[in-house]
Amino acid sequence: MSDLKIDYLIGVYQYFNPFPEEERGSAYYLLYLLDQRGVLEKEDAKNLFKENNPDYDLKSKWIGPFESLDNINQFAFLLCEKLDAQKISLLSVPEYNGLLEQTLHASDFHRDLLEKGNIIENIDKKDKSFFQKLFR
Amino acid sequence: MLVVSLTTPVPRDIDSVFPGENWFFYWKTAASLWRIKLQEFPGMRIIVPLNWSFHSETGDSFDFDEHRPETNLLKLVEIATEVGKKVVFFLPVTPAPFLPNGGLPHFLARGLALNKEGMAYGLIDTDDNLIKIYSFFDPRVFEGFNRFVKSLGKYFLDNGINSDIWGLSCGFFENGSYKSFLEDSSNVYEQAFSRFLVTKKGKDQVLSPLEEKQYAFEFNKSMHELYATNARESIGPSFEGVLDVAFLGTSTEKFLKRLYGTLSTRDYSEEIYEALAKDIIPSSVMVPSRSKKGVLLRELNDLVANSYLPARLENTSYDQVGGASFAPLCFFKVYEKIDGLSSMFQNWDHIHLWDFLRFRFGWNYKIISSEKLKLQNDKISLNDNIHFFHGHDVDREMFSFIIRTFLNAGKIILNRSGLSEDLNKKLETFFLENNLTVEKVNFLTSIQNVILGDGRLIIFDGEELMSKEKASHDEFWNKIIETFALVHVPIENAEGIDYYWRTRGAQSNELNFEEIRRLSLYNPTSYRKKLKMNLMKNFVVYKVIDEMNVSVHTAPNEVEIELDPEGSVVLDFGVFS
Repeated sequence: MSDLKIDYLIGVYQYFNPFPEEERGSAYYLLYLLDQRGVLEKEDAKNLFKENNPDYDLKSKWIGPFESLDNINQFAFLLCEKLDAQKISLLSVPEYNGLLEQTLHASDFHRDLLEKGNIIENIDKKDKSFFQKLFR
Repeated sequence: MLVVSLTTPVPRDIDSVFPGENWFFYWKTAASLWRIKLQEFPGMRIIVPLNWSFHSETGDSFDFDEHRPETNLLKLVEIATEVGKKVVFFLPVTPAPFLPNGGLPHFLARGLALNKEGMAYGLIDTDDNLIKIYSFFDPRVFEGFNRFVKSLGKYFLDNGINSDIWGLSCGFFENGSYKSFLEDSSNVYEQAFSRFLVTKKGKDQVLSPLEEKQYAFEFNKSMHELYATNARESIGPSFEGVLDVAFLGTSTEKFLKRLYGTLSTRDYSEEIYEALAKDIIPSSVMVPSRSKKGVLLRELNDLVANSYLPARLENTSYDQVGGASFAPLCFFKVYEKIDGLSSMFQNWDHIHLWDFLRFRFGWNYKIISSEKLKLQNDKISLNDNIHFFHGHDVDREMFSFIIRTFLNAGKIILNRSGLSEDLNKKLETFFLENNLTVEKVNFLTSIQNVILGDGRLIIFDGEELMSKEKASHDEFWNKIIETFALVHVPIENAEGIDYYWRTRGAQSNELNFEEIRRLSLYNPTSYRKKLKMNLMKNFVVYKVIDEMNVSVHTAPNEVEIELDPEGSVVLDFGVFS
């Protein structure tokens, strides 16, 4: 696991069927993960997913399938805990596309990805921060 | 006398007006400054991409100097000629990532084009503005494009502008695969595709996912051809053809990296070599100037702007060895069928062919599509290349090319996995009819070796090899390629180094040599790198040029090169028998 501190995560997910020829049906997949430094290698997230999904192929391009939005939210929370991030901003691809279409500058889009997603906070980390402040 | 001195620094417009590889964005500067800027420009050839949106007043009328002097392309050509430059126009026939809205006039930019994952294409120009790509599958876009190219063609004809015009097909690299910005999965696309399917399938016919995928490929290809054909017919004899261009750093992943400022030199440079291996022109016009320096800039100048791109625009066969200028040194040609389906079945990755070729030979191979093979069948130079074929890709046409190549002393490696039963039988019949001895050996997989004069045909079972570990694949390829005794000098300890071999015939004042091989080495890492080359007896260091942060030590049979971070050097080797 990376030793560099992760403040926040951004996840972009899509509901689709990437393997129509295999007749699998649509599901949710995490397409991209970012942190405050940029695109995150998905290795840790893939390993985490595999812990509960032994059949998952680690060479797969995406993380999934997740059956429901609840499942992907739960995974996002676990990922936050595993990577010790304060929060994760989850955006669906339509939300991502909407932000892209209405934004003119790269810096604004960068900010919006974090602020305009569905924010899931790592409560444990938040509490620790509070206590750390209290006993400083 | 009043002397006025400027105190405000004049911003360098190297990014915005001259974004890379001799491109000139005429709309980004006042027409009154064209002469000065073109005069200062060091190159002889100016590439002018045409900005459809810039010339569009309404949907029906176009501005070619009726209202804005910056739309006066005739004046641009005249000024360029007066200052000794030659103009080549690029006309986008797909969405163009370097133009707002991908090149569409604002009134046509309606439906965002989406990639296969449903994500909108996002791009960042050199001023850090976001560029969005809109669907070219909207019939209104197609009609609008037709009107524009007709007006453009008439304007060129009426004004006697006979500069070359190339159609520009814009794409990007994603995980080693070249994708077009035309590719779309939006609702606009789906509606157009549905209309296409109605013409193709029976009324109640239900297509399997594979059939639909194949039709989707056919549909995309036909749309691409429609735009290109309309351009060609409207422009006339000045239309030279369509060029595939890969814009560095423009995939979705690279866009996200760029958003956070984490794109590295290696992210860009790898795409340069991927493009050269596939005969696609790499373009750095989307790369910000703060990244385009040092080793990356030298690679772009050496390998693209001053060599590959001019050769493509002159329509010279860049692969022809023996000319006065350097051509890529190509040991291997790997043939691929591109039909939207084959890549699902044939995959050299599974037996680590690409890893092996890149490790031992760098990027000195070519990937040739079945389309190109059909178009240039009689012109494909056999040289001493080793030709790779995958059984899944081999149809009758490719099969007859294989046999013809073998009979003409060519060297073939055929992975028989996926080869049809019919073609397998044809192969056996060919061996029998020509009394050819088929040597059979089992080394990690079953291998057949057939020799006819200087021709060699090696057939192996890829399926069986796939089940082995990567180390076995490396061993397999090492052994097979060793049997060809290629005249080549490997570079030791080259990990992390970018390098590219080129070749030309010896000139009359280089009588000792039969061939000159040029090795360009670049160190994009932040570490000093020490390389060593043990020279074969028929290799001699002939010249060392363009040394930058490097020291080169030559001895009779070896060369040691120490490249500092951002160091580079070019070595010419004389090769003789």
